[in-house]
Amino acid sequence: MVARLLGLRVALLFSAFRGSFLRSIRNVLWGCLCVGAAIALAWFPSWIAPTSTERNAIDTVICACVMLVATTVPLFVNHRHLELRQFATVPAGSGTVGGALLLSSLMSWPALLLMVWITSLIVFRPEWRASPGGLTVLATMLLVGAVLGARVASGIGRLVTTEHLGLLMRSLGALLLLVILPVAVFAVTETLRDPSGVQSIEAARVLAWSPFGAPIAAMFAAAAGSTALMAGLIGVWGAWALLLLALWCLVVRRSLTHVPRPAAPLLASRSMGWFDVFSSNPISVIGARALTYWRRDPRYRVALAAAPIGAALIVLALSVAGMPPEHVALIPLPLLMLILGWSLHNDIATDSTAIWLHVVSGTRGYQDRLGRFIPALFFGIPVALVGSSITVTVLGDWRALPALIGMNIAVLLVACGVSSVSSAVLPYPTTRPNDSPFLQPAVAGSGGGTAQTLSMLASIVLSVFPVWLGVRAVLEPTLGAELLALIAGLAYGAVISALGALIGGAVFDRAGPVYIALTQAFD
Amino acid sequence: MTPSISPRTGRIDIPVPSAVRARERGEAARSRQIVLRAQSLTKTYGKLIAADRIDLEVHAGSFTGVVGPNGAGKTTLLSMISGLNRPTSGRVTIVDVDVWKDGPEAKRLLGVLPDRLRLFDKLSGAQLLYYVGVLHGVERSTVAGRAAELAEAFGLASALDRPVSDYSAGMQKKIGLACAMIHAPQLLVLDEPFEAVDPVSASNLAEILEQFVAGGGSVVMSSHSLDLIQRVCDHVAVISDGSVVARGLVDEVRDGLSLEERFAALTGGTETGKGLEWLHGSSDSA
Repeated sequence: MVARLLGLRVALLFSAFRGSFLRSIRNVLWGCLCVGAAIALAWFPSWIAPTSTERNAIDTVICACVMLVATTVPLFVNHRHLELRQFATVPAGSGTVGGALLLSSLMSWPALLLMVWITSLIVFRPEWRASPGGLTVLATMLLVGAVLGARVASGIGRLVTTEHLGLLMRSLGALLLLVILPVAVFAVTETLRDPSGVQSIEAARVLAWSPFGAPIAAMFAAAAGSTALMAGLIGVWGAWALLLLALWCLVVRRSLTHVPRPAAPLLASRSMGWFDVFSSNPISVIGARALTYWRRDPRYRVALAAAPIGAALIVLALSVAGMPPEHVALIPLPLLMLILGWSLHNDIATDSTAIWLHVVSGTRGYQDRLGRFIPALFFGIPVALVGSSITVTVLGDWRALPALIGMNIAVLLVACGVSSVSSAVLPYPTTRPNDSPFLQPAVAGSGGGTAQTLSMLASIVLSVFPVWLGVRAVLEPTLGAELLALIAGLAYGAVISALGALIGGAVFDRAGPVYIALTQAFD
Repeated sequence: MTPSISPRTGRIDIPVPSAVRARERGEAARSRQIVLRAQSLTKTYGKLIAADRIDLEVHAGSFTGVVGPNGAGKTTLLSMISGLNRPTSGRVTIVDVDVWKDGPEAKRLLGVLPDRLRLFDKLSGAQLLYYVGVLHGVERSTVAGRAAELAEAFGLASALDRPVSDYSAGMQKKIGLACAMIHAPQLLVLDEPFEAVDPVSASNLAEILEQFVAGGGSVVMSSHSLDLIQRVCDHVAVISDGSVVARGLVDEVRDGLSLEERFAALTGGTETGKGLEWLHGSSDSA
């Protein structure tokens, strides 16, 4: 089995050069480019780093990044791999199939590129050659880690990516790339500008203890003579490798014995928009419906457009007033999150009398409330991630990234939670569906101002805690403060939004008929 | 209802008129289980009494019409039954589940088409049917099949990809009715289902509803078309000024008259044109 798979792999390797002449040329060029990049990646630290301490730090960071990429990219891009399901009918046990696939993965272009990179490392770092044993162990750990990580990620990616989730997974991957790109560019330019900077050394210290940076850090520890440290680092990597191996066994067994449910006939033949992407339970379909409305209804589009404009205006005002740019940079994103979450604060009335469908179908209040969070989170979380990484680039300190992400998402969640309660307790007349958002509602003087003010004030007050955590971590970027701001911020936001959904939901459950009477009066 | 040639016997079958079917059905339904029981339902808005101790019973497999003059309280009654308007006092049960105590449970058994309320009309017809189906707890694959069949039955198949806001009033009624049926309820509560529906579609709808009732479901519907009620319903309840003035089998309520005559007598129909003499003849400006 292993021999046959290896043969298949080699055939696949060379298939890149078959086909039309142009295609072969293109693939050869791509191959040369990738090999060049792998060699450059190995050479780059020895070029910029003046001392071995800094070079080792940069090497650790690069090694960790390479391994991380090997383990995460196949989660999203996995259609080129030999797939486990293809072997479901082969008369061989899951152990054989799994093992053969793992081994033969060494004969694939990404694995070969990894080998090129490792070889170049050996060429460009003459001092490493002092201990050939250490080098062999390093190369083995890197290869095994990368192959295991890539196979497990690709297997999991294949398992979760059923028909209607493909789009979601791909967008998630693109989003991750968007988030990482500004930070990566910033990190590289910063390193080029000041190779002896503390940032790379600090990053290396953290990454060394991750399973991605541990192999190379272990070799450095061995070279420095600290055996205990080396053993610890190898232990971290070993535990990770065992975990991956166990996961691989599970993934193999699951993939070989399960077939995903085919799409339903109507849904297969007809494009259902967002409903195709979300699963079929009340919360998800309410979210899909809300997303459709955010796109199709001018009233939501105006709210979406107003959020960045409002944030931009405030930034402009503060800049004119003479606030330093590093401080101004912190402001627009949380403000955007606040406005985005707050835009939900009258969603029941915005549905007008169509809300009867929720009441009459026995939809629980919390389902209605949670479903309506989905569009705000769908737009808000990517903006929070990308925006946070832009903010740290402007701030000039990437260490603040986790804290900023925690703070911004927390503000969004808090605003959603407050809006959820406000919408259920204090609905007020709004323009009807299909009307221009700039029209006055048909009913006059009905307390819209109170609901708007109260929900905004409550969101601001409840946001004070995560913002305080975040700002503290930005001013004094220690690892502890960062992680606290990230974890406590997210947890706090989750609790507030869950409470908001529960309270709003309980009110909704009792007040369903009231909403219908009320919206009938507005309509 | 055109005569057709039976493939088996080769003889021409004259279909039984729906009124006759309704009469037989009404008799048969009496012995069946009670699906809907409304007990002294009352709704007051301040001093205005919109519904005054209304009692109503609907048996499984029966088709009940609710008739009454404008503003008599038909919509109030139907929305109290369907969980859209909380009664001031009284009790509604669907197959022994209290609508106002155990809402979600009762609403599974209930399909509702209210009058003059919006649908989520930015969705396409297919999306709306799917949405309502899932909210009612129907499985994804089941919803898809049912949506296709309902659209076929209501003649909406070609319109399923268009947004519901582009539908005509009659088509909106039909998609609303399809939404009310997608979870296979035991009882349909329909407020003016035939308003704005063209005559051909109306008889088509009536046929679908009759099939639903023949299959053991029950329908409560309000309408201004007494003719239609007399033709398809087996039971009727006449409402005037918030209370039921007559209810029972259509024949019992008619009591030998036509339903329209009986209705006028029960609700004290106004003598037309009385006091409007100034409208006749010349206009003011002449």
